[in-house]
Amino acid sequence: MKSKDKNKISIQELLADIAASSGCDRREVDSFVRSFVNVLDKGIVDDGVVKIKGFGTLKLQWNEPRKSVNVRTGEEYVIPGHNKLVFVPENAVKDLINEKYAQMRAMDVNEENGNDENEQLAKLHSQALEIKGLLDDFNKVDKKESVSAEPAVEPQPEVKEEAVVEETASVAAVSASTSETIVSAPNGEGYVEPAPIENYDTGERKVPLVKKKKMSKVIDWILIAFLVISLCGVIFYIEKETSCFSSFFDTEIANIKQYINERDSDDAERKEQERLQEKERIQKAALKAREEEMRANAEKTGISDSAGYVPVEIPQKPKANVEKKDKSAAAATTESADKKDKTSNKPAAAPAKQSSGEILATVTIGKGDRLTLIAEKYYGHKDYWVYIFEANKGVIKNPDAVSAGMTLKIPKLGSDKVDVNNPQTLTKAKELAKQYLKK
Amino acid sequence: MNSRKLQESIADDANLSLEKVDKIMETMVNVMLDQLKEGTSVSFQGFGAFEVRKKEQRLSVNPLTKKRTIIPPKQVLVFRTGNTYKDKIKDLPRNEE
Repeated sequence: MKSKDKNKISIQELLADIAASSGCDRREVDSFVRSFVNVLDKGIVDDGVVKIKGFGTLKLQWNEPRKSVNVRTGEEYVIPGHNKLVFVPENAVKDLINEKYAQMRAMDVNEENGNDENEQLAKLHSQALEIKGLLDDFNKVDKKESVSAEPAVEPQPEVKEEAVVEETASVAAVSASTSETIVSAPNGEGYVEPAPIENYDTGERKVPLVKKKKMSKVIDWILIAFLVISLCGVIFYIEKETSCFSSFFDTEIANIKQYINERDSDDAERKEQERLQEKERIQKAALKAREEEMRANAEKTGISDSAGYVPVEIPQKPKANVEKKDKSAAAATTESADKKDKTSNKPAAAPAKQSSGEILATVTIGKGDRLTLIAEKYYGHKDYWVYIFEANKGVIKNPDAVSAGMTLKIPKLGSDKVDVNNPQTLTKAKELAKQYLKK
Repeated sequence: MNSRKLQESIADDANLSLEKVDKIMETMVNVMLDQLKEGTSVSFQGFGAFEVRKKEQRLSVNPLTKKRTIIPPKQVLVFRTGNTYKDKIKDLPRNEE
């Protein structure tokens, strides 16, 4: 703008110069300039582009309509689409105009990086110390765990064993077929676990136990060593780059912390699960005993007054069912489903059990999938999602938040549980859902 | 419209020979460039003006490497369309090259 104000010249003022250096008449040059502008105008209007040799190109450019805001009133209005004349000089002309600064080259700025590097190295050092501290804590936790874990576990299996014995006795009395799967599962846990504890108590075979401890320690150490080595490698690699390692370390520290937390929480979880299973077993045993009694009573009285008692017995069964449901809802395992079937279909226990144990399908959760959607797909109504949740308690922590990538078993359910035409099954499922969601 | 056509049209319009038009045009461009180099803008009445603008030096950062670079100042030739001509071409139908 300044240069424009300082020195501005009209083409008319240059006519003499042009005439002199071209050796033409001044009038000729004058008419040339007039027609030059006219032809430029014509060319732009007709073609949209005019190329002037040795100078550049004038062309029309279309500007799309766009929204704008009046700065004063804040009112929105649309700038209509319009043409604009732009000039693109030839490269030779560009260079000629820029002759003054032609020798200047773009320069990299590096001075400030040096300071940054020192700062970042100091930061790196402090972070390395932090990691070391964390690893030490990690080791301490490991040792504590290996010492404290044994006594904590010890009393539980004993109780469990009792429960299992009780259960096996009572279950065997009720029906052999139903007990098969239930007993086999506790057998796996109950009879294997006490063995090392016996050893621990008597001190006869302490050697394998110590070995076990050592083994787990060795594994832990290998893990730690691997972590440290990989960290070192990454540190060296990043030192070269000197760019974004601070964020990397933050995430790494977070990972280690998370790992430690997970270990702790896993342990707690396992213990709780064991406790729950145990409780369930005791309940089951008690219920079975009661049922047996009831049946015995029914048989006794049924002989004398069979016509009167049969209808009474039937409503009793659902009652027991409801009781059981409440308890089993609290105790959270797949077995609860089996158990319910057993009690409701006492005479036809074997087939019902089989059907409930079967898996209809396995589903991998995709993005946006919900339990209700899957339930609707497989059972015909979204309210039956509770049964999927029941069958996959190990995988699903919170029924409201099913994350993608989970693989869920869809259990095959009898018509007593899943029947769209039977409103009772729906209300049952809803009650169950309420219980789960309360937790 | 290329340079050849432009010259032919001018020759037609101004009743000049093609050679003369070629010669005058070349001289005119050179004279204009001389003026522009000095920082003087050259205007065409009712059409617009060619002028030189200085772009100041600036600091640019490569978004990929985060390398900072000083871009030196430079001078560029621009065409400023006259207001009357701006209004004239504004409402032309959209021209696709």
